[in-house]
Amino acid sequence: MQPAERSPARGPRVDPYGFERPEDFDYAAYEEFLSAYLVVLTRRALKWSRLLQENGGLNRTSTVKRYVRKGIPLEHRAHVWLAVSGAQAWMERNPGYYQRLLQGEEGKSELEEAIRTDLNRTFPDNVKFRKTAQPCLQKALFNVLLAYGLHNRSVGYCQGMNFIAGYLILITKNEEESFWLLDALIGRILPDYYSPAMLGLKMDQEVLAELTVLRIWDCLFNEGSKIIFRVALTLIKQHQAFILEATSVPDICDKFKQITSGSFVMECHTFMQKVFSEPGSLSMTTITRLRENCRAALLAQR
Amino acid sequence: MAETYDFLFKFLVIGSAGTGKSCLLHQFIENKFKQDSNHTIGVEFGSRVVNVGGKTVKLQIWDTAGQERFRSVTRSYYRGAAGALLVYDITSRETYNSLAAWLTDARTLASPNIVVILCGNKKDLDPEREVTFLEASRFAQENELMFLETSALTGENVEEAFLKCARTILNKIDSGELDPERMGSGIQYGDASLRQLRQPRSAQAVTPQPCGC
Repeated sequence: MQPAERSPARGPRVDPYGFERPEDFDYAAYEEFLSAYLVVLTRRALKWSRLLQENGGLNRTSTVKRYVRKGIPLEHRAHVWLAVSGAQAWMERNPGYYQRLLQGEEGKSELEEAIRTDLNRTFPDNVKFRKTAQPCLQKALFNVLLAYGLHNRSVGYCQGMNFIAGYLILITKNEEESFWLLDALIGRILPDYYSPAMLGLKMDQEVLAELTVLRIWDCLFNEGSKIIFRVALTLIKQHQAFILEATSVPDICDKFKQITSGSFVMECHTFMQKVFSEPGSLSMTTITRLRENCRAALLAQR
Repeated sequence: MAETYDFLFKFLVIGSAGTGKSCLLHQFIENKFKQDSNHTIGVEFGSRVVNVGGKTVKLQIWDTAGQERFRSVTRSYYRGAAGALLVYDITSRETYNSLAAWLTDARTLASPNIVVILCGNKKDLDPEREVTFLEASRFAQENELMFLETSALTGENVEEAFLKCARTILNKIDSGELDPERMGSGIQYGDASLRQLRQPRSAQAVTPQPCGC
């Protein structure tokens, strides 16, 4: 990834993805982190180019898993996400499907209304999503969400999907690819789980540093939803004592917000290493079993 | 926290998506309009200590997500609320039509005695109005709600809405209609409490959820 031009005193106000940096952004710490991280990025970039040259199709091998866990270079990110999530295959099997969804007329109005309510409320801190931006990504966002709501009518539009789709558009710069990646996430990677999972994803996107979010998403597309648990557990474990200081619910929520910022999450490379070591082994079998139990308990409460 | 107050009230802000709940809260806390904001996911918090009828009251305000399907999540935050702002958008009949459902939720999940003030927000957008003042005030009367039209943009009636709700709760405490010591009343005594009462922990609004999933 290219660091944008920086003045020696302060870095750019807007990051490479178009997000405005917060007032209290620690430029010095970021600078220090980035200078070390650039070395990693360069090494990874070389390794990835080699891997992609050898390997026409990306399979979910242990090599790919290892590579993904160490981060996908920005220039390959869209391509790799599409490949490992299966979105590419779905897109190729259904040519023109995305466009046809948007051309149809049926049952759109309510969905359109719900999506429109949130257009101005998606990444207001990102210059590319401003009404005044040229081009303005709000239109692409609207299309992708509308198509998805028509495609998966049982889900329709759920708040939170706007941020996910927004991120996909920023990375792929392509509506149709964003649509199929969204389908991979909501339809397969986070199946039947979209509402609570959205909360976790939103947390990732809104609060964690962008670089870290993308590193998490690299693994999410490749390994599935258990990465979300790994991230959450790592954060909680790291800040256990701090969280326990809370004396009320608002306090707890505040503390959870605070633990998603700072150098611990900004240094994405170290953070991701912790994510895979701190929580220890976490098998999908365990998660599936726990999910089954919780589902039964929730259904019984109704 | 060296804040002193006589009482702490738990407040809710509820109503459909895009009606301006978070903006009302922001206006109340910061005294300005929140221009660029994300929609709320789950719940956000705000608090302010106000002076009402010679008492200092800390309002602990729980601002909820409005989208219909998040209701199953946000409902769990209602428990033990003493007051609520029930918000609709005067330029959207749809948001007005869902008021009855929100009200039922508040009364069944928070408390049947919860003090609710109906807020017709976006008063500044009068040319686009879809719900008349008269119609809404009739609804308020029928359902025993207080009612104000507000503007989070200009700040009109925003402070008044929160204060009115707080004042009514205080009156009900004075008249004995509300018992702060009853479990789940949404009211706690503060450090500056006039009575020498040690705050009973059990009266806290905080109830752990059985399972986070």
